[in-house]
Amino acid sequence: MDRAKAANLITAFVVILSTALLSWYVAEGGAARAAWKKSVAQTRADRYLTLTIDSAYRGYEPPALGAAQLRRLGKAPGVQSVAWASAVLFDASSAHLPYRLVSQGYPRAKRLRLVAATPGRPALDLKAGETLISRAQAQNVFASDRAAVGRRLTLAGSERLVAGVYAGAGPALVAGTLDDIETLPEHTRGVREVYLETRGPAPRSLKAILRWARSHSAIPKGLTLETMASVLRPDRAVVRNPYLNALRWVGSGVALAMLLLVVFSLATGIVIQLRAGERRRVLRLIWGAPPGRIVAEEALSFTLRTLLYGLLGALAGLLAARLCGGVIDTFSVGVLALTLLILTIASIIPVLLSARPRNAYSALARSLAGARAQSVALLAKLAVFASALVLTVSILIAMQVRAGINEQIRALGAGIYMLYPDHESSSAKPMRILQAADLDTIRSRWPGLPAVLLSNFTGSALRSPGEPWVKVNVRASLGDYWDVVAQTPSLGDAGGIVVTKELKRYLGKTVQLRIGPSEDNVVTCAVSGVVDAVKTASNESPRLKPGWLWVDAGGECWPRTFRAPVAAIRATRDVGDPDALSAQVAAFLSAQRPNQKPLKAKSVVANAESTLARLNRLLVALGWQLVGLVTLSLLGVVLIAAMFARAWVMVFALHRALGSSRGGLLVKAVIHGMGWVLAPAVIGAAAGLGAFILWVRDAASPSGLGLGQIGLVALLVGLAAAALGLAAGGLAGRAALAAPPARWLLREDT
Amino acid sequence: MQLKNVLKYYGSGTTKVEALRGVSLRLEPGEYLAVVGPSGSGKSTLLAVLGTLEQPDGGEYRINGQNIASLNDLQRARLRAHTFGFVFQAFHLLPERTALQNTLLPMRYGPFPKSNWRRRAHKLLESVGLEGKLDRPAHQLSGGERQRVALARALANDPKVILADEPTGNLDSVTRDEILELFDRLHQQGRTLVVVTHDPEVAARAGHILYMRDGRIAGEA
Repeated sequence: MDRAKAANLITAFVVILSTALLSWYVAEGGAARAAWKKSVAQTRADRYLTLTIDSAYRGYEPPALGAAQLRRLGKAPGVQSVAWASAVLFDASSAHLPYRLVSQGYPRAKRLRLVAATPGRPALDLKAGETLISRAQAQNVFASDRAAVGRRLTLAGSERLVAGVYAGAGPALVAGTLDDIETLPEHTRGVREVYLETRGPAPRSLKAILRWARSHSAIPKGLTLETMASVLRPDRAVVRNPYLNALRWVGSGVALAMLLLVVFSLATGIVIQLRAGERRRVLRLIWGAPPGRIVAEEALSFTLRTLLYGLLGALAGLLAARLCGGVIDTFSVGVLALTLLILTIASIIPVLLSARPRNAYSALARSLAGARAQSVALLAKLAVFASALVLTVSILIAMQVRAGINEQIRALGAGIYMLYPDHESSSAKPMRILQAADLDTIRSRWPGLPAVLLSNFTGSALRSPGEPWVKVNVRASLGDYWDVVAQTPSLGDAGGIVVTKELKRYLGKTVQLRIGPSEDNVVTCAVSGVVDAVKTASNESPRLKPGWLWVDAGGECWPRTFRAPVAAIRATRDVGDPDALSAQVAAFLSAQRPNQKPLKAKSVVANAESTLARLNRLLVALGWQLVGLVTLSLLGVVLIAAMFARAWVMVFALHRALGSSRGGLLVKAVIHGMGWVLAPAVIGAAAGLGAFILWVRDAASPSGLGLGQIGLVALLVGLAAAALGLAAGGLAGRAALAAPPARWLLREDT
Repeated sequence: MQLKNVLKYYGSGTTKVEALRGVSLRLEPGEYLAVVGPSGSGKSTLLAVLGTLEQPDGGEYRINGQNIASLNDLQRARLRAHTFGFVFQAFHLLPERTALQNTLLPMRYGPFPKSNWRRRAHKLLESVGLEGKLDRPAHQLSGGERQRVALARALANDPKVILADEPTGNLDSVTRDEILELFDRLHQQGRTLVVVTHDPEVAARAGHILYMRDGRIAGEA
């Protein structure tokens, strides 16, 4: 097969494959987009704004809004109504059902679906003194949905009329006022779930309302407003997670590099075909065809072919996606149309640059200088540069993100399970309080299983005698606390108060510790140890976070009886299936107190592990993208080699006549090929490395990759580029040398 | 240089072309040989075999008693660099390089030390009448000037043999005569010249003419 036909086949393959993959990808996303649009329409999300955490404050405890701020938000121009809900609450004096204090408009804003309601009244209007309970609660407490409606329940300290039952298993919703918010317990005071109904379309009002809210201190620092429609976006989980988001950007970078390679392959393939047809065009010129017409006809021919290949690929991709449940929406069609437009332009430019015939000598001259065509040279180097850049950044980010999540899992404590009463249980039973006896039960049933009872006291304070109080949070524990968290072993015997580094100045001093807000609970004790705070943004670890201190509830610094809401166990692989064991422990303890809410077991690293699982799925997808990138690079190398080979045939034949050996020319070809690929690849890898160190290294993970790992990635990319260069030069050199020199130099028609 | 019953084929099966069918020839140092014949008679193939660009498929080719078939690629390349200078009908200069750069090209394979290269290239270009155009790119030169550069390049390593394939085929008659005068001068310097040509006037300047037809030597004069 001659080079022109091979170039045509390769470009056809590249265009068909890339458009097929793209169309499959966009159509697959179309299904998620269609579901999102349906959900936006159903929930009227296009008319609501909601509060979310500002990106700069992600990972911190979100601030809550007080009554005054909610009142101000209600007065913001463009806001029709404000709906809000407190955190899930539970108080022992009520029906033992979890509940949320909500504004009267909250059920409507949430578009709750009622399965039973008081006849003759607007279903979603909640009045003072009323409650909506969930279907699971209704069935637990009243045996059926209908039987619940009209009955009374004690919630939030008063009797409430059950006005309706909503689908699901959530907490009861109790109508409250803004003043009620201020009466909530301190650690649950304020609200974090807020919806603003706008007068016009929410996206249009967003900026003005946000500006107004900020200037009137209606929303606390760290929070921002977002449209509900964007909150419901299918890829939101990815967008919101810094690790996954970093990978998403990498995916976009790889896609861009792939597009560049497709454009490069297309342009190179066309240039090779144009070179092959040069003599034909020169003859047509001699026969009297106008040059403009020759160029136009060539452009039309290549454009039509490119469009045909593109359409074939797009149709195949769409068909495959449709069979797999994909949806072809206007976005898919738009993306494909744009891609075909780019490919069309990419097919016209090389024709305009290279197709104009001149004269026979010029044709020969340019065939000699074929590989030096400036446009193709620049495009090829740009493609190599971009590939090296995204390859370096993507490998580094993938490694960094994985290392970051693994580190978080380590920090949280792999194998640690929290056992806590199921607050959200819809059973009307009192909450379980764990006691020292429960610890003994675990120890006697599972000897050797590290277990600890934990209790947190936020709003506590510490001071050296005569100094002002410093706010701290206190964690008291009973059991194998230090074994569980596996911190500095010597501190296990510390006995007194152990602080994190932020409070290091108290080490060795006798201090007064106020446990909780009450002035009655003050102990005097020595600070005997300092530990590193856990490096995680998550609140789920039993380990200490900055600003916390630890007190041994079995020691002399704890003069009171210890009762804990939470237990933790460390179930490692050597005890069998840790998930099963923790569930077994929870079930066993629950069975001890059948009249109290059951205990639930949850791995503290469950969220991180689920992020890791999602990350792994993304990494697999990214891996395929990288395979595509490398495949395209290889095809690009074949095309470069074909161009080189064509350009070198005559030059090499000449050098052979002048006395060069085949081996010498092959070495020269390899050096040339490496020069083409290696320089832009090294610059690309260096740029990728720089970008990673400057913008990604610290942002995407609590700790950066080691210099050794970074260097290794850069080295691997460099070696891969060198191999590509070697392949390009070697292939081209061998092809150029395959032609007998005499046939090129001595033939009469040259 | 001695060829004994040399055979050369191209292709195979039904497409097989017998370019040389048992050519025997002996060339003495300082000889001026013209090879003439119709297209496809094997003239250029003979030149390629003489210049070691092609290997005979049969027969024997010796230079100074050395059988060429016993040499490897590197040895043949060295022999070519030191012994032969080529001149082509289509010149085959690198178009974007200057006359001087084109003349320097073969020297990297030849016997002269690098310090002498530029001086020697200057001298060679002056000897072919291009002293004012040393730095001009090849594509800016006329046909005659290009062939003069090609001639200077052929002489770069002071070869004993010049092999020219239709050296005047692309030139007008005035330029052709100028080039032929340069060839005469080379002959007078004692070099061996083998010139493949269709042009009887070119052939007439040689001391010995070889007529070729269908891959065989059809006659001599």
